Amino acid sequence: MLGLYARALEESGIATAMITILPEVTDAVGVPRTMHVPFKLGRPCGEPFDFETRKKVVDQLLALALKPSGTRIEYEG
Amino acid sequence: MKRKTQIKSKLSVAFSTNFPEAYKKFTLKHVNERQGSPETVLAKPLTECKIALITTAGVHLKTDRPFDVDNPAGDPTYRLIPAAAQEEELTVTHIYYNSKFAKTDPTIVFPLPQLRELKDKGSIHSLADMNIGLNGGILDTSNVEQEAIPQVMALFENEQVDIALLVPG
Repeated sequence: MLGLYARALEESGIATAMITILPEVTDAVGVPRTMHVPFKLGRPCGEPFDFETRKKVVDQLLALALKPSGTRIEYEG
Repeated sequence: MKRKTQIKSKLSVAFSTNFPEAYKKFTLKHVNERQGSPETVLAKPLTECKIALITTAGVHLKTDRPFDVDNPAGDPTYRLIPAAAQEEELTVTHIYYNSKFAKTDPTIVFPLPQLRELKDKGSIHSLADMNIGLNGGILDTSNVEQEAIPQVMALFENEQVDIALLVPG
């Protein structure tokens, strides 16, 4: 469902960057820009209270939003 | 939450945790494949951009109505989360992942404080006044596409949001 939001946002003039834990799924939906993270389901931005990781996730997501649609990146820890 | 929903939640979490490949196959079977990739190209740097956060991890204000997890079809509605919402004001209602970690530290699904820090540093221009909490696990998304999505689009356009960061559950 989040992928549908991503597509609608891009069509409305809002750039998106989405975290994915299951890239095969987000690719099938055609999510414009994704960052694959190596974290567990339900913990897409890392473990509780690991704010260093959180900061890296947000920084890399924002950088991804500036890239062309169709860009897929891997989170770099 | 009904007892039936609690059991369903336990089974779902056990399934996705113990059989990740089967879970992936199940999810893939239920996606609506889409062709092409719509695109918005940003014409300005991050320092001039307004950022919004959207999650399907079931985040909402504790004072707000929880998502209806007892509905077998899922809850297609959205919750508004103000940019200034503090961690202790937030909770999650979701049955398809183990939400105890997100209840302990909501930033693992909703990194709002990290975005506020970037705004304070001047790395981004601002945050949307209203950010969005959704509840994932909806197989029939037609209702979402007809109602919730157009409403959220109107809200963000009105707020002149430049970038939305999307976080799954």
